[in-house]
Amino acid sequence: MTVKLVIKNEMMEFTKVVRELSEIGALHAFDQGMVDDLTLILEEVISNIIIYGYEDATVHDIEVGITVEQDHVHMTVIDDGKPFNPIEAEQPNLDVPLEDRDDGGMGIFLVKRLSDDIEYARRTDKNILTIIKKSGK
Amino acid sequence: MSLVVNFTKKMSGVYQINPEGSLDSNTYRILEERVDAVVTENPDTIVFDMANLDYISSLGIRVIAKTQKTMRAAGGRVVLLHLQPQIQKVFDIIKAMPSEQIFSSLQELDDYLDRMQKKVRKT
Repeated sequence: MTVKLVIKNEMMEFTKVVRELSEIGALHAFDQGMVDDLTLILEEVISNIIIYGYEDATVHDIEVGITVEQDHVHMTVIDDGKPFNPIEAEQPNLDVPLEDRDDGGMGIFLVKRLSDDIEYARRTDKNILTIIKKSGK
Repeated sequence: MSLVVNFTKKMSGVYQINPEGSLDSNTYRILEERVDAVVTENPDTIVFDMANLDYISSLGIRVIAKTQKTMRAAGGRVVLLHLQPQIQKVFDIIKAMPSEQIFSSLQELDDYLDRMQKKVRKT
């Protein structure tokens, strides 16, 4: 089963993704922890695109795909913002107190830690991010 | 995806803030505004009681971090109470707070605040 959503680059649009993930979770009997992890992964990826991805003030589409497989959930996020490969993003320094760390980097770090596999490609001026999260079933 | 924030003055200098719901990219400003209001009261301790907070994302964590920075600069402190599973997990991953600032029961927190008050009186 694949669900595809197209949202605008405005954070309130993310509530559509949250609603969809909640429905998918109920349909496939995922526990709350799994639904929260999937929500957090997509929230961090999408908020990062919305905050840092665009150099103009026009409206952009962000495509989100969610596919539930036997033992994992496969998610794709496609945006036409500037090139950004989160896999290469710098890791925050966890040895200094939270309040002394630089802003940014934390969200992408969470995405990496909560995902089982991440792939990035840049094709036809779009960032294509693919994320796998095992469902433990 | 909604957040309600209440706060109470627990005792002299100690303010408790109760965020309820989801502290995320769409709601973090609600908490930020409430914290700003509490900070103007010059508290020496801010307690975030997270008993009814179900979800946090990185922008929510930044509000906690910012509060911690403000309080530390003023010689005060931030403590957290009743972390729910998703929040505990996220805090563990990013090593958000040293464990001595996190309390799992009200009794534990009260004992701590009691000790801090006595310490203040001695000095």
